[in-house]
Amino acid sequence: MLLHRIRTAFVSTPSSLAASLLAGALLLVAAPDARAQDDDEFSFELEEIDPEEQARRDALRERLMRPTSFVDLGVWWNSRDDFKWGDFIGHEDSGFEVLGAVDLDFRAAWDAELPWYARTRGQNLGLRSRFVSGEYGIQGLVGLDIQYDEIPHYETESFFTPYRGTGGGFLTLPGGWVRGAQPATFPTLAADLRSQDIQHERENLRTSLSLVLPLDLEMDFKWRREVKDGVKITSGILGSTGGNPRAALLPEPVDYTTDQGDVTLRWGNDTGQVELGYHISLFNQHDETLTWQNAFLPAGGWDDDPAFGRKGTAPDNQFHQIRFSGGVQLPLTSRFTLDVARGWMIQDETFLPFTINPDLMAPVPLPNSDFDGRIESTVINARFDSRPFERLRFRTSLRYDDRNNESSRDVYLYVPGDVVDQGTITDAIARVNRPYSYELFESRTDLTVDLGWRTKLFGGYEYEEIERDYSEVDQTHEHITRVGLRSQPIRQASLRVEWEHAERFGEDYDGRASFLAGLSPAHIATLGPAILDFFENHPLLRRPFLTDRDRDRYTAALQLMPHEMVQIGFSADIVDDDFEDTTIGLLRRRGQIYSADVSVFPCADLALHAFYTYEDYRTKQRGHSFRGFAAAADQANLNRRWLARDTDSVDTAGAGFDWTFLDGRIELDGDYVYTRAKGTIDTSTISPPLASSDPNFPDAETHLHGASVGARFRLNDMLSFRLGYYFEKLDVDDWAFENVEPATVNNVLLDGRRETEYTAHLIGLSMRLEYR
Amino acid sequence: MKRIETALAVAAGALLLAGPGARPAAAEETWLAADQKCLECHDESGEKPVLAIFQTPHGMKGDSRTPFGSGLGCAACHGDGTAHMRSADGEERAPLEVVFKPHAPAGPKNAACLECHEGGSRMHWQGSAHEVNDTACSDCHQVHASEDPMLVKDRTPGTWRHGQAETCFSCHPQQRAQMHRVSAHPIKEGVMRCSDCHNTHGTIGDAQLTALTVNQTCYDCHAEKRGPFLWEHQPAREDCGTCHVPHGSNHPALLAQRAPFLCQQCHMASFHPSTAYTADGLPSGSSPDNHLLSRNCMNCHPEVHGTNHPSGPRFTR
Repeated sequence: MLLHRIRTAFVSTPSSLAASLLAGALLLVAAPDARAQDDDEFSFELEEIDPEEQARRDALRERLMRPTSFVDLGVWWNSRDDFKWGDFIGHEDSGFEVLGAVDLDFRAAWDAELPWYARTRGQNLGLRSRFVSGEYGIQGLVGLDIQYDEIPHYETESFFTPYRGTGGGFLTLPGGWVRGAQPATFPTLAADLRSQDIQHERENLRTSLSLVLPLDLEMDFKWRREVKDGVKITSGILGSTGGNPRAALLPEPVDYTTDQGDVTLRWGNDTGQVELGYHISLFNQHDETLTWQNAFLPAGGWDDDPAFGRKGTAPDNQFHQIRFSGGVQLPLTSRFTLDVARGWMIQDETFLPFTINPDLMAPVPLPNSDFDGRIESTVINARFDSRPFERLRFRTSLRYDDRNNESSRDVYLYVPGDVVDQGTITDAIARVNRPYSYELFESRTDLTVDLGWRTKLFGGYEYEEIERDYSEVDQTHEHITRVGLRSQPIRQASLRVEWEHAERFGEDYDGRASFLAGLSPAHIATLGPAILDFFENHPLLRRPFLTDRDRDRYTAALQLMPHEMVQIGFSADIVDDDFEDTTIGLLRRRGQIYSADVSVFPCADLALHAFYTYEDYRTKQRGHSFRGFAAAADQANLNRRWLARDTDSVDTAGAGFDWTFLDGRIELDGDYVYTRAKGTIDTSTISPPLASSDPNFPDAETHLHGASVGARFRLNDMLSFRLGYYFEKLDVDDWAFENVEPATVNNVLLDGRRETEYTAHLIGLSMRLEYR
Repeated sequence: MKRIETALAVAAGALLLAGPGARPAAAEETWLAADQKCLECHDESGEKPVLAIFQTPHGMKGDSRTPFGSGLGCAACHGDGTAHMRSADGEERAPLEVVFKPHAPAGPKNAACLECHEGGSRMHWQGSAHEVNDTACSDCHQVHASEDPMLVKDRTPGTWRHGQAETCFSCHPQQRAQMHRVSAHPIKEGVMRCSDCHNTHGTIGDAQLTALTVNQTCYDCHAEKRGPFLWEHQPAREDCGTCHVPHGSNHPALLAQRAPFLCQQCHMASFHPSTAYTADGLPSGSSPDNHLLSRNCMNCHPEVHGTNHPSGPRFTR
């Protein structure tokens, strides 16, 4: 031992319980003398240590009780320009980067009467993912936190477009642009294409003030402002139906500011705790529209040849929520906890006109100048947990989640794609918005029985009921039962297995309900008796989140410790969804995950680990291709049905180590991960008249190799160096982008984005100055 | 065993007279003295270094809420150590009242922590998934470290696996694998942490999320998708998880499955929504298809999360 070695000798051993209780009582009554006497019964025989050595050791101990501050300064060399490689970190450009970090941790000594602290941290200071924070205050009294960080997100650097004005809300084509009927016939497209970077950056400023108040009260104030600035991909479409749409992928400006605030008042003691909070979130988009120049010649069915199209961007919105939480300890090792929250989502953005095209016939005005959007949310969660007997545990909970959408509901005689005249109120394009509401009620009860030998049997039942507006199913019910076993009969092994079975069923599925709710009453009146045969989706379609479903879930986990230095784990998780009453739609969905991992600790300074995970997700879905002009005949033709089997399988394997040696002067760490993901889609069951010459898609595959090795050399207590090397090789083969040029397809001007493929190296050397 | 009983009896007797929470000032000195005795043996050279606790909020004597500020010192969490210290030389020392070794029962370990930390985000700990599965606070947290790795925010390249995520992955290996997918939230970049979305200390809602619903959790960073919108997309309004998987996907934008097939599970109207898409629609096929390539359905319907444009009922505006 670093300090004194002590040897204690037990002197007094009172033998009777009564005497002991009496002695204990007397201990306090007669304090302090009695305690001094009791202390005398210890015999701490301290090793004789030289006073100088003792002073040295005391100084060392004192030093170890002080926090460490450090300053890092390093240089990194990045071998590769690539957005994906630099995503979220910020090293998207090759070459040298300066990387700095600081952690200046100053605080009062542990035994100071005023426990003040002042800590300033910075990370990735030379990168676009920089992070700076400050924590200042007096512990137990007041604390102020300030934090600023940036997060870059790079989507693609190969977005090819002829449009100019990226980053703004008005996109134009170059002078001399010659329109064509299809992208392949744009005469100047190749010459006018420019590569644009699609990226955005988040800047976050967070502040919080925490106060410890009298009467066991605490209060927190938090404010966060996030500015998100950059460009994302969207599409601008002209035309809408009858095969006449003409679209182009476009860069849409992202210029968001989101402010979030929280005020929380908290009180608690040994038996109960309560918390009352208010949360506000204000979202603001500064570019409210995106206007783009029409690149296409007019198509059939267009009533006009517009110069521009216009779409809206995300509207400003607000969210307010008041939340109360509480918990109380009850007899029989019981606890009751409660969450109640009432919230309001509000959006009242002024509407854009139906169309930007002044030459279209659009005499019917908007029903309102702005959207009176409002969703009132109520969430109540309550749980009672009790262990009335040592071997029995009982837990029951209730959950109520109501999202009452009180937004205005009106008829909108919309203008399809800025190219078609408005029509009349009796047309099918006179639409009514559907402000969906949602009400969930859930109850759950679980029992756990301790069987002894550190083995517990558990099981439970859960009921869930959901009501929806404007939906194919008004109400769904789900019954869930689960049973499992958890056991650790010996220290070296633990096992957990669980089976869960869920049956969801709904009231009668009305495939027309949602669609009809979105049509104007005037149009519905024109349908007359034909409304009974009216549909949009195939009548046999069953939407998977609404329809009947049986779910079985099996989970198992085994942990072994054959030796104190070796830990081995296995786990399996299988979910099987069977939509047995579905004819058209999702029929089956199955996911399987198997994992194995091992950790070895040959000595205190060396740790090794490795893992492997296999995932397999499969879906089977059936469709029925039909044409609007021959809907009934096509639906009767079962040869127009098709089946798609989709499989995603992923192997992930990795290994790593941490090793400290030479009395802690050298720290080594390394890590390697390999991921292979393969997506397969098989539509081989298609038969005439849908026969395909090439029914199966090529595999979409991703291979990712990632490795890192780092070494820190400590020259002395104050100075150390770290040498780091990172390697990543990513190869994505995705048929959705492979050989897809801007003019590859009809009707849509694509972006010609390249598939991601890179091999990148990052080597860095940094110096750390430490101070206590 | 006899000595343990004796020590416990002595302590119980003391408690009988002293009552809960009534610790005279003179006794504090005794407890502090006991801490000094603890440190005689337990220091940086031991199997488990402890001195760094004095660099942390737990070690601050000036805050009356802390173990050392309350006067209880080490005993605040470990219980009375008298029997442990009195063990005779050469004998195996009697265990402390509260043993934090990995295989010790979680209940007493957690009770020591909850004595002070039952409020706030730990309000719903009892009955939570982790608590029910006998997870101990000390399975994840390191009280004696100068900085608990679970609380460290470090986005220095390559450091993620020494932080919070790796602790979570030790019991949730599938999330570790999903993090390495081509589309994933930036956990391994150190920009996000599991606790940004999950309150691992327990909630009564879904998946121990920090907010009260799945969507409220997502809107925390994606407020532009909150609305409400004039034209709502029902599954998006209800649950982001209907189309997206949060931990990593082989498909763009964390989608659960490749579109157009994902969309066709709910949309089977005449013409293109019901079309049987095959490799014929690839650039190498007979008819390259704008519903299949690049952004597939979103080549024309980009506003799938909802839109406020009066002419946007089909999510094209």
